[in-house]
This record gives sequence, C-alpha cells and structure tokens, in this order.
Amino acid sequence: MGAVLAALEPVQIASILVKTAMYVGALLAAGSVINLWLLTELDTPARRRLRRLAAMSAVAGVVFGALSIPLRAAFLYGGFEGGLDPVMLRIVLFSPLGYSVGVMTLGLTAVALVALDRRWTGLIALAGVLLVAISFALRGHAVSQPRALLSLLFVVHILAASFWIGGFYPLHDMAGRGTTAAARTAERFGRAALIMVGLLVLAGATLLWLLAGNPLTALAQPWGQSVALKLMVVAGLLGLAGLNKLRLTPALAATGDGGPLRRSIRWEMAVFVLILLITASFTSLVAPEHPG
Amino acid sequence: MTKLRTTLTAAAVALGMSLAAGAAFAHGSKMQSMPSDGQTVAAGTKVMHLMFDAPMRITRVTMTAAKGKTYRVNGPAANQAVKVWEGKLPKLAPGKYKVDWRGMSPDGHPMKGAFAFTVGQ
Repeated sequence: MGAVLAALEPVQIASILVKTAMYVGALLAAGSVINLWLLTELDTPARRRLRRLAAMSAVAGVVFGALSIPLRAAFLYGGFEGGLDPVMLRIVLFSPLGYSVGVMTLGLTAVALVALDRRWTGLIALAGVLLVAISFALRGHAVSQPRALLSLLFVVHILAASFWIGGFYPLHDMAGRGTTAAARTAERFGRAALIMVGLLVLAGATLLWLLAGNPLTALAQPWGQSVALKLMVVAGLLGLAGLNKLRLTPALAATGDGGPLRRSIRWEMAVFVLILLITASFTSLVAPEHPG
Repeated sequence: MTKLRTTLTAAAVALGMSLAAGAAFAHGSKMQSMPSDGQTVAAGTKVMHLMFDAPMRITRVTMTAAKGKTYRVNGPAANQAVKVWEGKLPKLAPGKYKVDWRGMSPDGHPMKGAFAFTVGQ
C-alpha cells in the first residue's frame, strides 16, 4: 500500500478529499431538507437545528464543488499551477463536471434558503434537492448510453442516499431526548428507510449491471474490485441500519434510553463517510494508464 | 469508541487513496500511440501520434529523455477534441524517451497515460 500511496500525485489526493467533502455537503444538505419534510414529529428545536445544518451543508457543498473545478484544471495541466490556467479552467467549466457543478450550485443555493423557515422557501428547497440529484446525472458514467435510464437511476440513487445521510442528525438529536416523539421519529424514519434503502440498492444494482456487464469480468478489473469493496461496506451499513430498526428503536420506545441508538447512528455516519470516500476515489479524476 | 471511529476514518482515507491510485476504470477511450510502447524509431522521426477510439481533448504531453531533460510536445490546441493527436517532436538524440500525456475523455473523465520509446543510432 505504501508504494501505491507514494505514486499518488498531490493533485489527486486533494481532488479525492475535496470530492468526498462535496459529496458529504451536497447529500447532507439535500437529505436534511427531505427529512424536514418527512419527519413531521420533529420538535421545534430539532427542526431549527436541521434547517441550520441544511444551510451550512449547502454552503460547504458549493465551496467544495467550486474547488473541484481548479483541481480538475490542475490535473489536466499536470500541476497545481494549472488551477489558475485560463485555458484549462475554460475546458473544465465547459465539460460535464462544469455543468454538473453549476446545476449543483443552483440547487444548493435553493436548499440553503430553507434556513429562512418560510413556506415558500421550503418548496424552493425541495426543488433544490431535485436539482442537486440531477446534477449528479450530468457527469461521469451518467452521460453514457442508455443516458435516460442511467440518469434516472443516478437521480433515484442520490435522492435515496441523501435521505439516508440526512436522517442521521435529526435522529441522533431526537434520540437524546428519549421522548415519545423521539421514538415515533425513529419509527417513521425506519418505515421510510425500508422504501428508500430498497430504492437505493435497486438503483445501485441496476447501475452496476448496466455499467459493468458481467460481474465476474468486472471483478477481474480494479474498477470492479473497488465497487465490490464499496458493496461490502454498504452491507455493513445495512447491518447497522437493521440493528437500529429492529433492536435499538424498539428499545428507545420501551425504555426511553436513546444512548445505544445514538452510538449506533454515530457509527453509521462514519461508515457512510467511508462509502463516500471509496466512491469519490473510484469515480475520481484518477486516470487509467493506457499501454502504448 | 471515539478512538476506534477515528482509526476507522484514518484507515478509510488510506484505503480510498490506494484504490484511487490503482484504479483503471471502464470509462474513457482506448489509446494507441505511434511510436508504440517499447518501439525503436529512427533518429529522424519528427512526429508522434496518440490515437483514440473517441475524440479526446489532449491538454498536455511531455517527453522526458533518459538524462532527465523534459520537452513539451506541441500539437492540436487543448480545447480541440481529436481522435488522432499529432505532436511535433524536437530533434532527438539516440536514447530512451518517456512520454506522459493528460487529457479529458468525451464523458468528462480526466485521463492520463505514459509510454516509452527508443531512438536508434
């Protein structure tokens, strides 16, 4: 692993970290809005904190999304100085990455308005969530054929993933109170998760099938191995989610003790970030080496 | 518990980085070069070609001699997507040369590659 790490260029390391941060910001912002709309039992302080988190995550998503532009330019140029090269910047801005970041910025700006807590800002924020999801369908593998189907699957995948990551904070927040409302919130999230996680897995599996074809052939390639690693971590996350739904949520309802559920949610958050890091790595600007 | 989570996060960063470094992804274009990897060419060779199965924007091509001297190889403009990229070579002394290139595939993925050739006596 040391040799592999040593071979990485600083621009690549920065790009992967920035992309991971952008994923976290964008998905958390979108997911916070989804859960504000879905978790009707959240009390006023929890809703206020969640709106604030949505806005802060949106700002972070915009900043890290914007940073990805000069970093891509730097990669194409072959050094950080390329991040300021007008020709490289223009190429990146008018590439799928540039269009995607533009749409994501628009969506996240709309999401950030949720901090104002007006009825109209809530509706605009929901439209923003859709734009954020669509922005992921404007880049990378999503622009391959069959484009319409791939785009739809990416949008569903992103919406479901956003719902998941966006649920951590309000659930953690409410579980600390140990009230009936907290138990009802966790139960409602668990019911919605059955559908959303199902959609997430279904969309992800279909995407894999469309992009990789024969799974055995794909497993022979580093790309397929990276995806397999991601799937293993996802399996662990599903295990934690199952534990929360089947054991810890009923325990919260029965005893009012939200401690175990909060600890499990913190683990879920860490595993989710790991998945985003793996995803950012194998979808990142790292280029394949071609034989001459 | 917190320490374990911190360790997990650190391991995740290292793991992600290592995956990124080793990745050879399904996207992008297949590439051939002329001179090809390992080929020996005559001293009078004046051009090199990078050939792709889909239009690529080649943003940078550099060539490094065995003694460490690096040349920038100029060809079509970086904002121009081409299937065949032709670069003008400087006058080459006999010896080994390594070529590194970077570019962007039609789906926007950044690409890079390298190959080496030898200039004969």
